[in-house]
Amino acid sequence: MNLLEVNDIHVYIQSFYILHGISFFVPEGKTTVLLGRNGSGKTTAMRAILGLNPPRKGEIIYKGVNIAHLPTHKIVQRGVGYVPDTRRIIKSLTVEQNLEIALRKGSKTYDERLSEIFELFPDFERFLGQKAGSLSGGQQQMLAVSRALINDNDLLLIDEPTEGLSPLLAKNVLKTLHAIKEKRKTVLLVEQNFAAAKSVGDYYYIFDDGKIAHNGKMETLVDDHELISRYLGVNV
Amino acid sequence: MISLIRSINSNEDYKKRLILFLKIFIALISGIITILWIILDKAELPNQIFKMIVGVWIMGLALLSIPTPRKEKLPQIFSLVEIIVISCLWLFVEVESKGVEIFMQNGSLTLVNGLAFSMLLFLMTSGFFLIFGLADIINFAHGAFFMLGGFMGYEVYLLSESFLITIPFLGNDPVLLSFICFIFGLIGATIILGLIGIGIEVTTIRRLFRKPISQILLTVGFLYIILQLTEIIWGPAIFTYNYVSGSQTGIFWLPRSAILDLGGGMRFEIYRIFLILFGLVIAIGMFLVLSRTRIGLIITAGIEDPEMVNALGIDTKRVFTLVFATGAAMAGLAGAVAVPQVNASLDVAGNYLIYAFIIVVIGGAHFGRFAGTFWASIIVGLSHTFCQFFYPGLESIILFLILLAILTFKPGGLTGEPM
Ligand SMILES: Nc1ncnc2c1ncn2[C@@H]1O[C@H](COP(=O)(O)OP(=O)(O)OP(=O)(O)O)[C@@H](O)[C@H]1O
Ligand SMILES: [Mg+2]
Repeated sequence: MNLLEVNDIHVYIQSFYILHGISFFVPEGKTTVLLGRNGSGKTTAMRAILGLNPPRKGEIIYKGVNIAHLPTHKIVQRGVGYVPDTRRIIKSLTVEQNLEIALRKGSKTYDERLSEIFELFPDFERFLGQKAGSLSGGQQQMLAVSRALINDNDLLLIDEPTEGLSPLLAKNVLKTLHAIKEKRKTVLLVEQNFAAAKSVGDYYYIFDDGKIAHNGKMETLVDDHELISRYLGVNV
Repeated sequence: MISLIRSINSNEDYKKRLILFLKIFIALISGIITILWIILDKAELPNQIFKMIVGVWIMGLALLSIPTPRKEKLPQIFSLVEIIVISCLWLFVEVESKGVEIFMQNGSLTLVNGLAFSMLLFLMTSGFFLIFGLADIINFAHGAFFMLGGFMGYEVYLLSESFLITIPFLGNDPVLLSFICFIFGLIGATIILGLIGIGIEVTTIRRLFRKPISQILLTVGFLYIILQLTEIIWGPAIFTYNYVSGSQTGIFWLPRSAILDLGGGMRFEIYRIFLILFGLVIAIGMFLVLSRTRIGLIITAGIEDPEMVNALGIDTKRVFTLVFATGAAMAGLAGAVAVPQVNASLDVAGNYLIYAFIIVVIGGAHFGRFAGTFWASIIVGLSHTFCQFFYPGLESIILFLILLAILTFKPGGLTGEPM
């Protein structure tokens, strides 16, 4: 079952034609990875799903409903969590306040959700009262991920979570992605680090200049060295 | 001094060194002027240089309020010393030339009046700041909201007086009656301007999201519409401190003669003290709402990154309608509470709009928080009042000097992020 189906979307940013008819599926309970060079349109695709750059043409079917022209907050309220590429935590608020404003009404209490987050990030408890702007890069990334996990979201959009982190921290984030996967969450992930993408992804789509160049199961991509070096510039 | 120069040579990046250099430059200039001042007699000192000293003094004050990292504390200490030295000299000259008694009177009076003015500015600007910070809208009509608040407060005052005067125990106590009518006036102006704010936002402003030129044209349009309507309806200003024109009792609860006498020549108008307390209460209230409640946190977050707040599932458009209405309501409240001091008149709209601009730039709107607006109001209010009293004529340029200092040293404003 596909939780999300993106059908032939055409996205403009101002007058620039960025996505030239993109289609992809995000199956429930799986991790789907968007790959591709810098500037190929991965972030724009996520922003289109969120209604931040709504498509001029095409459909975005989420849980069977076309959400392409809903306002952003309505889309998010249907259970979409977003971890943006530049983290975008609210620096002038504390860690706890960041989580508070992200929290929507739901089945579990705030404390239950918070303890779930502490399971993922044990040392988070110490930082709760600290200003988010004073956190380290890795801690800010954890906060950005926690902010998407504090609600019972059905779909997580995670954009380059390991970008700019040291190898050790990147490994931590990868562990978190695996933990999220074990909870049978549906994830749409953008990840430049091919090794990371390979280990956590079930399906892949390769973006090339605003179009989908290739897609399939992660296992099959792993062996296709030519494809990898052509589109991703990675030598395996 | 040596360690100052050494810190320039340390391996800090160029920008920091430049800023440090500018600070030292200002400090040196002010040092030279101070020495000149000491050598020359005040009477022989050209007026211009004297004014410059005051300017430097204020600049030092502005510098002081800038938080700097520990490494850079030295220039700050230097400007502190500079401020203290210049202040002491100034105090000395004032006291010497006019006598202690007069000086205490003038000084304390100016302090109270300055703080009262600061609070007024804060009440008026807080709404402008929220609207600007949250939605990047420069609301040119804000001064007009403030002015309209004055007229509305005045009308509601008269209206409630004509009703309440028939109640026996109020009719026999004109001071109490006047006080209650004043409170009604405040509430009335707040509500009316809040409703006008909602009306303007829902019908026009929200359709011009992220279109700065159109927004400016639109709000300038509202500024003129409100001004012209006000002129048609009320004509020239009529509401003054001592006498409320059209009032049946003709008594205002806080006449200019209501004085708090602390002895030693320190006599303050009770209205100004009321204004200070009132402003403080509202400031604390707003601060608590912004830092403790969910909606307040959302507004604070929205000032920093509105799109991300939207992507957290929050309807930022509705939040903005609320903020625009609150901003207009606060301007109305400020206008109504200010009427006894500034009179309801047409000039108010433009003058106070300029104050709002200056305060928001000094306080830092985008990354900064609410506190910046509060402190900037105090700096502007105090320096303006002090100059008005002690160096008439300087008050009009002093604000621009402060602005210059802030833009030089802290382009993001007091609470802004360092570049
Ligand atoms: N605000 C904008 N104005 C104009 N063009 C933009 C804007 N934002 C993005 N683009 C263009 O859209 C294209 C796709 O950008 P996008 O950020 O989606 O790429 P990406 O695949 O996420 O890249 P990266 O791997 O570097 O994050 C790029 O060519 C970029 O130059
Ligand atoms: Mg990207």
